[in-house]
Amino acid sequence: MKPAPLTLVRPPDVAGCLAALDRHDGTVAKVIAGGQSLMPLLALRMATPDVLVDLGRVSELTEVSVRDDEVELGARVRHRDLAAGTAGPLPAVLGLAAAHIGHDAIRNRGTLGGSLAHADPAAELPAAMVLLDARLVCRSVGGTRTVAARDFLVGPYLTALREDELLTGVRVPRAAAGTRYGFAEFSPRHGDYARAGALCAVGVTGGTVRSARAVLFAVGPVPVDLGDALAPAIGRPLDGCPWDELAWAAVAGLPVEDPARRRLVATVLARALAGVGGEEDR
Amino acid sequence: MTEPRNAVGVRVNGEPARDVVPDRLTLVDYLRDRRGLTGTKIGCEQGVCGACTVLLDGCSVRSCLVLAGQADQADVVTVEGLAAASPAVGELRAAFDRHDALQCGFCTPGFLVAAVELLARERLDEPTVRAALSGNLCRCTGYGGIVAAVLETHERLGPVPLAAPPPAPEPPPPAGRRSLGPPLAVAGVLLALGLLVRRLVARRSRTEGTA
Repeated sequence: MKPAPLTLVRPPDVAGCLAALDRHDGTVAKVIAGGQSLMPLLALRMATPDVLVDLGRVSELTEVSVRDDEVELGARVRHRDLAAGTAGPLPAVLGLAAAHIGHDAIRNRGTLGGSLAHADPAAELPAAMVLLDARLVCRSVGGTRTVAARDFLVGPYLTALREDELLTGVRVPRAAAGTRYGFAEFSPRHGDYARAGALCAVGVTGGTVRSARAVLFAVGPVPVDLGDALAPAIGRPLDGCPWDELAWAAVAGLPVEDPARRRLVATVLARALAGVGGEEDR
Repeated sequence: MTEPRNAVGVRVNGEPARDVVPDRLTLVDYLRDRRGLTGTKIGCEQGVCGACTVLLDGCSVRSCLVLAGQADQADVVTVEGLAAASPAVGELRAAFDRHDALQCGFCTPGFLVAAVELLARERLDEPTVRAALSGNLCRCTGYGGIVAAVLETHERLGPVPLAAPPPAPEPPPPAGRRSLGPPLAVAGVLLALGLLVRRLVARRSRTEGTA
């Protein structure tokens, strides 16, 4: 239960990390930040990279830039800061999602970028990024590109990130006025991986639902955007909206065969929708 | 292939040290094997059980999920140094005793470290404590006593923030700038005196024993 031999490099800045990732000698480099997903894989020797590029000294990746239309979060922003709401003026759903990751000791080290690049189908933050239409900033020595969260997540533990690229940050658009969020997940033990989870964004004006979106996680290989499946909620009053019924209808088209599992997915979605806060979000 | 190694400087319980370690060495192995601090336990080695929980720069972390090299220049507190990191530790220990919150004791160091971080919170109730400690597994005594001990300590003391780590010690002066002669001479005299006293005491007890 020890990692295989490896070389650890700890560059002081992004440029140093990119140089370390730009390899042409056939060796494999992996990026490590909080290490809360990668370290178990190293210990189990499911991952045996030649080189680990540690982001621990790269302070520019902890920065948060607040702009008029978006907030850019550095890849090393920790779950603990998202959960505590101290990372910046962000949609509340990010805090709800981060608070459900593991335990304190995990959130103290785990990072936003790490969770996204790891792309576990049961992870909360990738689904939150899809819901919020976030764009992910990928840098290499060749340049910078931004990729929409939904295009970034390709499959279980698979992303659009190239081997020479570093996920440096995430651009989260500011929410439209009147957007409220809900979150729910079911896991057999507190802090364990979710069996099913749902995040939703409901636009409300004068007590009436104007828009409703939801993204499920731990349901498919990547987060499942329900698209306009919740459109029947539009025009109804938020109070007393029949979320149970709407949730069952919304998951009807999903390829979930097992009736117990279908019930679980419908239930977490209904709970997320019913939990949509009374407070308007920023 | 030769094992890649690098120097790391980690301050553990206020004590700085510099060691050359394999790059793949985990922090928990470093603490136990290199620093001799075996209070921190190795349970699952994959971040599930919480037995290896320590404070890294004032935050609880699983030391099996951190490489020693990642803790370079950091401040680590293990269960051995916990009393200096939080004034709540004495009360907490007594509460663990009162509530029979341990049996074999293997998970206890991890629980104490996690609990000390938890005790800094403004408000604590049973569901909060249970949720927060769910990252630490106990396989023999059950969680009732542990939860009760943490709640009782919080009730008695209120929130107890973690103490700031002691300031980094002055870097040692470059060799040769200050003579080590006088301190060494004093240490030598003290050592000789100590040995003399020990020998006298030993001789006396031997004589008493045969008398």
